Amino acid sequence: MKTITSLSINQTKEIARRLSSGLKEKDVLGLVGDLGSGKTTFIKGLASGLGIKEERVISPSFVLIREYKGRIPLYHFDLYRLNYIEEFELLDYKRYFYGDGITCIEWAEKIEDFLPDSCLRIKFEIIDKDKRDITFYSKDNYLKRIIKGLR
Amino acid sequence: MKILALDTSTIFLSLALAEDEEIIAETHRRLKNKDHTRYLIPEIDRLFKKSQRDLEDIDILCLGSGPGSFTGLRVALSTVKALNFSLHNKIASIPSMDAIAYNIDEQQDRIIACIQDAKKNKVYGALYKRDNGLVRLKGYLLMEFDRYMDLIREVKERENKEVIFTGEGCQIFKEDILKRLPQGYFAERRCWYPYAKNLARLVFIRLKEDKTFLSTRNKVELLYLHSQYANITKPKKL
Repeated sequence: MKTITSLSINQTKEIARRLSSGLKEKDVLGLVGDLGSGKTTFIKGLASGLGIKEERVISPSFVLIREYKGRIPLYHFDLYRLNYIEEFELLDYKRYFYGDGITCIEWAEKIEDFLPDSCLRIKFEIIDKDKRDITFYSKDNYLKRIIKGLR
Repeated sequence: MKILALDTSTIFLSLALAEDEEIIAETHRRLKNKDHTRYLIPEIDRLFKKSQRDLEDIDILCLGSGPGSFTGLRVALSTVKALNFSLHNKIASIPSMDAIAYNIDEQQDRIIACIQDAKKNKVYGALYKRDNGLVRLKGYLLMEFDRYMDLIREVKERENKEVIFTGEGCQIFKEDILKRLPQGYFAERRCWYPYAKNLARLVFIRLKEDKTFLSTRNKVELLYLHSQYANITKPKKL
């Protein structure tokens, strides 16, 4: 487990960009944190690290999933508006989680039981206006090494 | 009696045209990107051209109902429903897993154990034996791998037969299976997938026993196996 403090939006993006260079297909990132805590900002940084224009990244609050074509495909889930677990199963989530890309899930705590055991969990905490604590945790050895090298 | 059978539950696109218990044309091709939507209609078209038959003459549309890729299953279902809308024929829904089990030769007097990866150490499974057709002993199941192996051992002792495994799960689980059941047999790779021709054959077999299993457009169902978390009739509020 590692916590990094970000003092700005740009710094949050930079942390995500650095993380993206180590990620590979089938990695699943579960993002947890309140509204405005930096989840979408983080994914924008991740996208830019994968060669995707960050303007393309907007929260799929209504459509639940967006796909971006990068160096590796990036699948972006936003489960804020998800009400029933059946709706989640209808998304054919396995096709993404165990597919050919990296999956990021906002509000991942809603589908705790469906997250792969090797999931990378990222928690966002609002400290004050611009300051955020971002905590990384995974049971997967490969991701543990990446977390260790993160700064 | 003419049947058009299709299965899109796996990475294969499988089609067959059968007439009076005989398979007259078939397609079984592996798709690179699971893009069944793109190839299904052109392949159906080609099948009819190749066999010089007409779509209008089809009496039964048969689909492999899974379990399998969620999107894949819906491709076959929506296509069958759309064809049926204009053809007004009957629909038969046969589990794709039955078609996989039917790949195993009748001469082999063994228990047939289908296994498919359901992720998070769970599997989809069903147990069969061949007996003038196909008899399902257990299934269709979604359970922990370990529990499935316990069940297989139980059935193996009761039936006093060897077990042959088939299905895509053979690939990933082979070593784990052999640890729990060192005398287990494995089917050849080509037997791991559902062939549409088997779906058609199973329809002919079932028709002899019971004509009422044929369905209409509004009643046809897919075989979805849900995890315990979602296995509730009343929607669970998050």
